Amino acid sequence: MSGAGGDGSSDAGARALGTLVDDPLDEALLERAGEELSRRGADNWEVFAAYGRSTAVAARSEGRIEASLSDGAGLGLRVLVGGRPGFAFAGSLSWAAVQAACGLCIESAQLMEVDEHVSFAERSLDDTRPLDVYHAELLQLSLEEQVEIARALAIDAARQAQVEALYLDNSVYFERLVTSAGARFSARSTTQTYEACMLAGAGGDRGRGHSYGISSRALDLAALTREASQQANAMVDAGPVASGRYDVVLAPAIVEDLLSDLCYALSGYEALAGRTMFAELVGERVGSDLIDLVDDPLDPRLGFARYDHEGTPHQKVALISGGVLQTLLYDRSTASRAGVANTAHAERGSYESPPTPGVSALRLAPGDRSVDELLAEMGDGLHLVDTTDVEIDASSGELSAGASGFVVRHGQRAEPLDGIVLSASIVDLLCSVRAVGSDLRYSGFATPSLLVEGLEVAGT
Amino acid sequence: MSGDDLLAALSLDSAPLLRAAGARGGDYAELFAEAHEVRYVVIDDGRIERVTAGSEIGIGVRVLRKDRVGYASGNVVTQAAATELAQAAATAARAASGTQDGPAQHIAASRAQPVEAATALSREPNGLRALRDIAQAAEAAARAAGKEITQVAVTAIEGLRTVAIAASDGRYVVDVQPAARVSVTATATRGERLHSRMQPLANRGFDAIDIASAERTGRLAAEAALLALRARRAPSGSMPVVLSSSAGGTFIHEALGHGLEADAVYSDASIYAGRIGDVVTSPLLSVVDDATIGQRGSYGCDDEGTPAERTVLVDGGVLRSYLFDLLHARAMGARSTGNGRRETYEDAPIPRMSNIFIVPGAGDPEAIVRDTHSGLFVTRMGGGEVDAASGDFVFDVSEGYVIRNGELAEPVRRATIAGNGPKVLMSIDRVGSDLGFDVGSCVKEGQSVPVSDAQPTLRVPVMVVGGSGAD
Repeated sequence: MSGAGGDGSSDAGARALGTLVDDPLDEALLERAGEELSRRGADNWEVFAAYGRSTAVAARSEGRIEASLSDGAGLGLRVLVGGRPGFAFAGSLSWAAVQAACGLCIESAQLMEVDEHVSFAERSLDDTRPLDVYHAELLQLSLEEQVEIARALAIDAARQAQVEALYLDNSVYFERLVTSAGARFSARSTTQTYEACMLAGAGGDRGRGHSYGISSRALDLAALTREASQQANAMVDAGPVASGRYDVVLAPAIVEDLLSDLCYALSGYEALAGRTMFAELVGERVGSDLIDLVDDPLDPRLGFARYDHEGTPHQKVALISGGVLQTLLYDRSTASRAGVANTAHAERGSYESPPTPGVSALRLAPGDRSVDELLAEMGDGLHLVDTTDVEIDASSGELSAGASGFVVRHGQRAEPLDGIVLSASIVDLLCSVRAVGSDLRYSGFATPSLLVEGLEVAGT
Repeated sequence: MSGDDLLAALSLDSAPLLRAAGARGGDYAELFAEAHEVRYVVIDDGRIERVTAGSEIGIGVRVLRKDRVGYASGNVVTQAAATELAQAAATAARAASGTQDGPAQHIAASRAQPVEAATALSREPNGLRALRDIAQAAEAAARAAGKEITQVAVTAIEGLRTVAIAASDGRYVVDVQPAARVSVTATATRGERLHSRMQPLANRGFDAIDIASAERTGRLAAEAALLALRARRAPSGSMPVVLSSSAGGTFIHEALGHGLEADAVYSDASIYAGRIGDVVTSPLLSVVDDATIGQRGSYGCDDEGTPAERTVLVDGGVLRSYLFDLLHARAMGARSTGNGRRETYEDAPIPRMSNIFIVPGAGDPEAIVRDTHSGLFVTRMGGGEVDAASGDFVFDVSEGYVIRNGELAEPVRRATIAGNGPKVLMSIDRVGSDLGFDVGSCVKEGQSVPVSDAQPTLRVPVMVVGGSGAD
């Protein structure tokens, strides 16, 4: 990083996301990495590659804007050497970095024990049609156009409440998976995410409003901004709640937070290790009759590809039906170890980690009642709209979270509340669900509002 | 990878990149380069679950136009790709400022060799084989703690992060940041009751972990899980809370620290905005953020090339300083306190805590419990969150004891504590002479950075406690 040289002149920053090459992950590079692994002693191998490019704009108070572009790719390598599994990654597609990772991958296998449960995909998918999650119109925007959209949103938002921050991200993502048995997989997607953080009022009694959307297509940004602004205005001068048991209506965003944490507790990996109470509850009641939870990765509003992160074909999986737990989440190795069917739940956080069981496409079946009808049915209680710091201890099933919302009297929303602490067993909570809303919201997962009876709440 | 190795691997010519970044105008252009190597071993369910190694390298280019930011990052590190990123950052900054091209920035000549931030940390790697031995030792120690320990998971990890910063003001700095960590999760079972507890050990320098310290960590995790087996649910309601020094400083991190980060202050999203010189806590409290003390949150220089320092935030209850990065220091007419941090080259730096702690007082920690008629004594905390605008915070308690008649009674588990930062900090009426650290990672705006936090034993006269779950 020193010395002197000439400046370039092309206008790279104005370029739209969509002007990048159609497929930035060259299959030949993955094959070459596999050959290198074989040459170094691998009996079987799997090469995973991911590429992402995103443009992000943050608009803050008083018209302050931050704009950024990020672009990156990497590889995750898995091998079997004499039955011993190895893993390594390279945060670069340069051949030197790939070669170094191949060496580390073999070295890691040499320190492992023989594991008969590890294997890689043997065949490609029959159905190679991509899911409808790649929408080129999202890629036509230049970063400068995206900045102008965010600026206009911030001006509009400032008329409704105070802008803390608006985050508008557009991204495109590609991945490929190749195994030594000749199986080949690839997928691509576009994503728009938008998060609005709004404030209202002054001093320590300010109200906060928050909304979030994610989709492979363009979101209704104005509606999400309004949602956050309305919440911020409604939460001004929020007061404490008295400790006790309350009937509560949980908003869809809260239900989504609970399910995200519940997923970890349903991991087959955690079950094999004896660290989740749900291991003993398959076939047992874990929710009221009204709870129907499915993982539906083939729904393009929820999923991303027709295969999981080690190439097993995706399917719709019922996790909880009529309140009864149907299965835990398994990938190839955990299913083999547990002696059960693979549910195609291999997930990678990034190319830097090997797959492990997880979910990304949950939908909790909606009911037939509007939120107003749920509040009317509840009569007196709490309408909780936001949570912070949600934790479910998988071992004990204990849930704790901070929450804010409103008092409900005679079915009508009254004064705002904050500083609420929720504490319950997650199974007790799900078993106490008395009604489910029709307001199914797609935002990563798909969740409706829930009416829960007799939830313990701590306040002053 | 040493600083020289990083620069050689990148072999980038920084002067033309900075000129390209500054070509459309602005006040500050910066090139950030990062290499990260990581090795780790996971032991779980009685076997070696994973042995992993990998590396990453990348660059980020930032252009500031007053308080507007343009940023571009990538991990193709050729001069041509870096030039494209520099141009993208220039365009992004122009768009963010809502104006046309300005005059090209003046780029000061940088020194030929980088200044290497001073550290005395061990860079001698343990290597995968030694990490495996360390993890196995931790596992064995946890399992030996009792028959009711039914599962143990251990991760032993070491990472070498090397960063280089060259900027338009002529700065050219390199920092090498070796870090090591062991975390042990022990699960104890009795009948149908199952409780897991995690114990971390983490610090800078590859010598931060060894067999003996790993064994100690394993024992602590197991003891905590065994205690949870016989603990009851915590009481719910408002009550006096004594926070033991052994719980670490999550409380001060959440209740005060985030509100003093200059971005929250500058955008008027912090209750501490405009309060320098005001009394903001009990006069018993002094609070410091110190990146120089050899804890997990330490560094030689921050991710903008400003040397690490000790910053007095609160002195005897009076607010003295915020935590600044370069951008907010420039915008607010202050100087950076060396708290501009980023998770990776993909992120623009923002103000972050390093190691925040409450300075120990004069009180006898045991006397604080003795003088409390009834309440909750908190000995282990989990994570937490704060709303900087209102100061309302929440944090998890994973272990504590009921205080009855000034004595510790039955153990309790899993509670959440909620409060309002300014009110709670003003009300603290006892401060002990001890100091205990906790280590972890702090997430803000999607960026996770290593931190530690600490406090002496403290008493808060009233906080909201939510106990959880069945007995």
